[in-house]
Amino acid sequence: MLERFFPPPLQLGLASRGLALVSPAQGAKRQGACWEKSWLQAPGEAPDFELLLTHLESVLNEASAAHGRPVKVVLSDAWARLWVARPPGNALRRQDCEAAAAARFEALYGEPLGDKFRLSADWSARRPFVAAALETSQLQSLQARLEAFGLEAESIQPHFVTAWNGWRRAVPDGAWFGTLHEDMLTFLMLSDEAPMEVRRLKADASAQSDAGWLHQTLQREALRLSASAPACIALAGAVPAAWSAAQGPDWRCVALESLSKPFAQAAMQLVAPQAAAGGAAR
Amino acid sequence: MNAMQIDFARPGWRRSLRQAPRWTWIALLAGLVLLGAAALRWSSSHAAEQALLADLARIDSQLARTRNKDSEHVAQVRAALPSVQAANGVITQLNTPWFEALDALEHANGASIALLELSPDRAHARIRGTAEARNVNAMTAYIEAVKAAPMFGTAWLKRHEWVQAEDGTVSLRFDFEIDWPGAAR
Repeated sequence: MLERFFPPPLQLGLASRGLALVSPAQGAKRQGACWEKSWLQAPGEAPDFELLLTHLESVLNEASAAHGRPVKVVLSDAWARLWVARPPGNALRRQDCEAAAAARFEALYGEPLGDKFRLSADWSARRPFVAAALETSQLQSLQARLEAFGLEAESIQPHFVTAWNGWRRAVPDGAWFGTLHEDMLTFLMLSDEAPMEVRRLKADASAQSDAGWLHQTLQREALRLSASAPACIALAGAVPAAWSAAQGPDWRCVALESLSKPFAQAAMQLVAPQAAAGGAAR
Repeated sequence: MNAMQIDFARPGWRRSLRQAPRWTWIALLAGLVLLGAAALRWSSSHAAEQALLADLARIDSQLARTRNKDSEHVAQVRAALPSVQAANGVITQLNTPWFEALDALEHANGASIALLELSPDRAHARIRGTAEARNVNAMTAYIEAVKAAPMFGTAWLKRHEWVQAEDGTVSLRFDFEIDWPGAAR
């Protein structure tokens, strides 16, 4: 009955070269629907957000029945910047944490947050926290496009955040967590359940077929932080079989998702946890 | 490990509703149930109060009616008072034993006294009288005789004087008072 008053939100996945819109089934009467689009881009060229929005418009034109509904937007991590900030020891107010996050952003990316980026973080004054930033112009034009079609953005989150919120209960104790999407490995290094650092690395086809690449990479990254290497990493996304074959006591890789065929598209993978688990991510 | 609260969407009521934890709905439901119970309770007590008020109004009007009636009665009685008093006066006058008193006074006379005036004073249960006698002895004898009469109490002389008539005869005129218990009946 609640679904009549609160229709289930649409799932919109925005990858770097593709997008997917999933309309979940509404009770027994209305079947779910799915639209997707992908396009090619010259290799080495930076992904174009305006092009993505143009394609989004054409998809929304097709999906006219979905108008007026809330929509959950999942952005590929290619569109977001993720990092871990440490609050100062004497942090009292939210502004202290914001200043710490902004300072860390500038140190990492070499440009100030300013008005160019919109900041959102899992604020905490006691432990390190994950922060994310989107380009303000991109966020505003995305919201403007959605509003032009009568859609209300219920959430706009980077893929890594939705993956964490969806799978965090399945992450083994002491394990790190990561996502593999569009040949990019994004992982969160954890120490005693507190985030240490977020890294984003390219994992090309040769790396994905190499059984030892993942372990070596994580050991190297741990060394850079002079932290101990993890004995386990839990990965969301299309984890190659070569990686998930490692199941030893000293090192294992847990594949959280076993993606079925419809989710072969990069954009579909963004909405996969919600669509597959029926909103279990909440 | 907690969920990351990272979201770039603008806050809105729909989003807040959707993200409200389950206990919010439970608390809302409980609040509504309590509200309903309170409303029910209020309406029943309100009905009882209304019934009580109606009773009270009915009793008040009854009281007012009886009061009106009473005051009408009182006014009637007040209006009738003078005639009642007059009637009472007539009755008392009629009840006054005039003839016995006159008999007794005549009986005590002995022919040497001429009664000139008799006026009863029922309020004081007395008779005032004026009479003439030939001499002092006749006067005192008359007073004594009146005193001795069983229906009178004591009697006393108030005043006396000698008067001369036109024909030259001199007589003693005197005023007296008599206790007359029978008049107060």
